[in-house]
Amino acid sequence: MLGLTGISSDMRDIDKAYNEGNPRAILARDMYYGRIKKFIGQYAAEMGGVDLIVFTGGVGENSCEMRESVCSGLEFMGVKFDRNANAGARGVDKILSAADSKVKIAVVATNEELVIATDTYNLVK
Amino acid sequence: MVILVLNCGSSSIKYQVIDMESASSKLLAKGLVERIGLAEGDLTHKPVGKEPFELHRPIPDHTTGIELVMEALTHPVHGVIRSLDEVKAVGHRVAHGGEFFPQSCLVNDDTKEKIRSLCQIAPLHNPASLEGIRAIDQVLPGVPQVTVFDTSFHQTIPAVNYMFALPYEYYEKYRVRKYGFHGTSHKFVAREGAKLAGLDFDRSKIITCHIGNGGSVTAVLNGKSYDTSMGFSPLDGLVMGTRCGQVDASAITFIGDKEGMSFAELDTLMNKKSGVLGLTGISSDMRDIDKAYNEGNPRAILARDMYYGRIKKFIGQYAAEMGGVDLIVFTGGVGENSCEMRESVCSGLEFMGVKFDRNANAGACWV
Repeated sequence: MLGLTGISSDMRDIDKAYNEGNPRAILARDMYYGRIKKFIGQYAAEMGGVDLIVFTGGVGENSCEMRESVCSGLEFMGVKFDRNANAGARGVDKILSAADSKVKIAVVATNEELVIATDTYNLVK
Repeated sequence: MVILVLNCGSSSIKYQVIDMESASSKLLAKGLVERIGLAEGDLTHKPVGKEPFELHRPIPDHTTGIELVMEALTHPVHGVIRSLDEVKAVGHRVAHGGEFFPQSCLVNDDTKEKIRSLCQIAPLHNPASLEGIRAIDQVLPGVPQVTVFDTSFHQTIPAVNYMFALPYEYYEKYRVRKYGFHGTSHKFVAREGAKLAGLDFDRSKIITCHIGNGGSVTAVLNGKSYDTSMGFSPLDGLVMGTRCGQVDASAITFIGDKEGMSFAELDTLMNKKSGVLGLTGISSDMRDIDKAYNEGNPRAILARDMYYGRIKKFIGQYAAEMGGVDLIVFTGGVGENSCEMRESVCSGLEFMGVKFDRNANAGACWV
């Protein structure tokens, strides 16, 4: 993001520039979102389909725009996104797919520290 | 109107002579000049309906090679035209048209200068094309020439798909971006495939897989290239005969550093020593890999699985990019002949509406 825009590596700064119509921010954000979608398509083909798409991480847990953009256009493989469920979903664990979506979509807050503590506990107890 | 089609490599010339005004674009002859500039060269000439002809002698440059081709074409025994005057035009395959050539182009001084300026980003391909153009200037003076670029069809790819996430200045300074290749083939088979499948080409989502010595996959959206797997050079994307395809660039810099390789050596590593040859140590030819696969050779099994798997990955990716797919087309030496490849690549895609017909596939195989 930084290299493409010259602005910042932080998506929030890119979102701001995007909303101001900055062409390089628009290109960079479109590439950022687009590439996530490409990997979803690729991995669905590798696995012979997909049952659940999970978003996590700083941007995954907080950017409604990113999740909506990435999940758009995937109806052909059974994805039905729920824009209402997605709106305002920040820092929570939630299902974002429509009730009748073949593919479930979820946002889950990550917790690597808990996993580390658990592994540590299991190895030392 | 008889047209000579040339595809010049650094030490080779592939040619075909086609009569465009006969009932069905009739092929009159085809052939290959090889080992230009080496101790001894070869001409293999195949006139349609006549005995093939071979010649072995030193061929110092492309001009000499073209002269020998012209002699073969007008030869009383194995020729197919009575005189050079019958060749009304020459069409050249040129690998790289950069952003200058979104279409094929009549050759003039400006065309030559632009192709020459592109030699910087296509050092393995464009210089040979220029040699071919200069050779025709000498051997067939005044005959119009046309350049047809591998990259032209892909000039409709949008920036979101052609830009790399590198500092923007490298696009501005050097035009570093994805170009894509095999454009002429992808365009042709997308259109022919749409006809075969009864689709409206201008309102369709097609994925074309040109799998030959080199290979690439293209997403064709409403008749235009929307994305493709080769990149700045023909190196990117699929696992190929000797090319690595997609790879984390940091693995390359690590190897280069550890082995003390120059950039040129790294380039040779990625382009000539990788792919199925690099993985197996056996061969770059898929028929040899198939043989080793069937003998249970573990590295041949790995390499073939990677080769097939990567084609499937691009199909999934491009379906997601286009919001679905209406038609998948296979072409190229391997695409047209390998039943196993097509069956493997199409397996497991039922979730996106693919139903493969194994019977239809059987028999459209290696002869």
